[in-house]
Amino acid sequence: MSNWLIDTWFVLVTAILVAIPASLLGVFLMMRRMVMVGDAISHAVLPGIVVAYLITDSRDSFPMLTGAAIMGVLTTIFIDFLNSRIRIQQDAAIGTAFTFLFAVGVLLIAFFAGNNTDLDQDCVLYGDLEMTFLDQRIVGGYLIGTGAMLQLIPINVLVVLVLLIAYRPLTVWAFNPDFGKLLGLKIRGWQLLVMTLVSLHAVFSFESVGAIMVVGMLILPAATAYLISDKIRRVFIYSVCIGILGCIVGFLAAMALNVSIAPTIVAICGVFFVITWLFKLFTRAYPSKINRTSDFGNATIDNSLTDI
Amino acid sequence: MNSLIAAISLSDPTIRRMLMGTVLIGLTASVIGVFSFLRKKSLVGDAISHAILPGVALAYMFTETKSTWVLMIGALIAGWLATQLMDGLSRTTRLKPDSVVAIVLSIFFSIGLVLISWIQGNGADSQSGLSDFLFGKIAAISSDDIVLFAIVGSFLLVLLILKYRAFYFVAFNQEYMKVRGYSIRWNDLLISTASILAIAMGIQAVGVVLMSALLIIPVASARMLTFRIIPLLVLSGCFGITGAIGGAFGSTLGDNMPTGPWVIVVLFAITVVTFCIRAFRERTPKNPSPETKNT
Repeated sequence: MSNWLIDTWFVLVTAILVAIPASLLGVFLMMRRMVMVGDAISHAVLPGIVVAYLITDSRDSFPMLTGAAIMGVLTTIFIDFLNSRIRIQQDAAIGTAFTFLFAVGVLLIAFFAGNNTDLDQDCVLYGDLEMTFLDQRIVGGYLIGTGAMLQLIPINVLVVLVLLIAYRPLTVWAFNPDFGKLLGLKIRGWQLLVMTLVSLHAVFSFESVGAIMVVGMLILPAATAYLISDKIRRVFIYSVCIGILGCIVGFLAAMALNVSIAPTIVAICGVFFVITWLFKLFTRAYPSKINRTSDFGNATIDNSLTDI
Repeated sequence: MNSLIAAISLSDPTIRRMLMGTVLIGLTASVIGVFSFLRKKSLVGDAISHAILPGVALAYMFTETKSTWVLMIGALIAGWLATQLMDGLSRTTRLKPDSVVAIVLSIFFSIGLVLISWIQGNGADSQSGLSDFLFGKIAAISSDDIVLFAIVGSFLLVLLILKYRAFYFVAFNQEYMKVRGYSIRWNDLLISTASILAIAMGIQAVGVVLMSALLIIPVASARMLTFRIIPLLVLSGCFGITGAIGGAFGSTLGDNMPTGPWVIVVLFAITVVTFCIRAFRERTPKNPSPETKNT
């Protein structure tokens, strides 16, 4: 196998490693109406990353990642604070918090890292997925992967493990927090757990896909899966499959067109979503607006009722 | 520091132009932002400002010019498509509003980034200006742009004054509006077109990512001081102008200093100040502030 093939294969694997946790966490964010909070987190980790970078002077150090992840969790708390204490309505609180934090991050870059090509404004937007294969790790003479891959594997394992172990409480939290409270679930605790995972993921994928594309990977596979299925288990499975498929197709399309890979992957996921939506629209598999109050499960019944 | 002093003294015509540009943008965006704020649709502005990018890129690809007029038409079309898509998605699927916003935002923005990287990869010579759209660079503004901004800005403000009643009802009481025989759909479209225009105008100064701040933060600050709509509009406009001036001066501090982040930092400082004012007022029993609802 030629070197070029190994390199491209690494890039694809990195993209998939970003997509898997994103498409799983996205389902929770979608159900809890917190997608834009996820978007806010992915923007707001920027100042954390810059500060940690300035202190430690390297991009792959452990303190930097923890610092940025804490920043992500702080964002949720900051939004909450703006909303409940300063009494700014929810949507404006999100908008205020993430634009302010992102602005601080960009200013920090402009002030302190102005001459540094390693951390510039473009990498915030595009990420440098194409460049990740340069950072190869060789252990005992064998090439075991790239730095980005080694960072992303733990977060994949973590998200999948948390989901497998805490599947019941997490789904109860996602669909019916009131019922969860009745069962004695610590709702705030579960929320904090998911938000921590989202911020960890935002930090890890920051390098490879850029802050802005994270929201696309969070919502598009999850929303497409939600259009297809009514069963929560299937939504998770479909979401991951769509995320991975989007990576593969997007990667090939980017190679063919010679454009940046990360935005192409998100655009392809968007194409999947639009196709699914149009398909559903024309086959009339959707209930009318009046019957849309329930969450899951009643779709087919409602549909048959409205057809009568 | 010398450049800041030079900027404050307004001796440089570039600085004067820059200042006029940001002030026009700040005023228009913050006044139009009041209505999306009142309808709790602030984040729709965020989606629109991202969604404008493919329109700008396509307009550039087809016309090969970077004239603000042309790019603005592209932006208007893309923004309008995005609002229609959001509308369609929320009418025909069970997706929640925030999901719809995030979906439209990420689809349009990723297509925009793909187009930009395609333009850059395929050797168009003067592509550098396009990435300024992402973070904003008001220094590159020309006097033609100022004229355009003034025209669009005053058009939007006149529209606002003329259609004030309709906009007011769309924000507060759509049922009553229906009874009075206003067309909700038409006025809704009018408001979204107005915000798209305001956003398309402001993108040049503050960039895609931070444009939503200009729509949201001035209103949010003004809302702390008043609960009546006219003072809200006036205060919001004043805050927008203050932020714009602060941002324009801030960006003269360094060579490679982007304008947008400075505007936002100044606006956030205004929010902190207004919050302190409200807290102080609430502590004084003589002059209780109106009860703001926590939503």
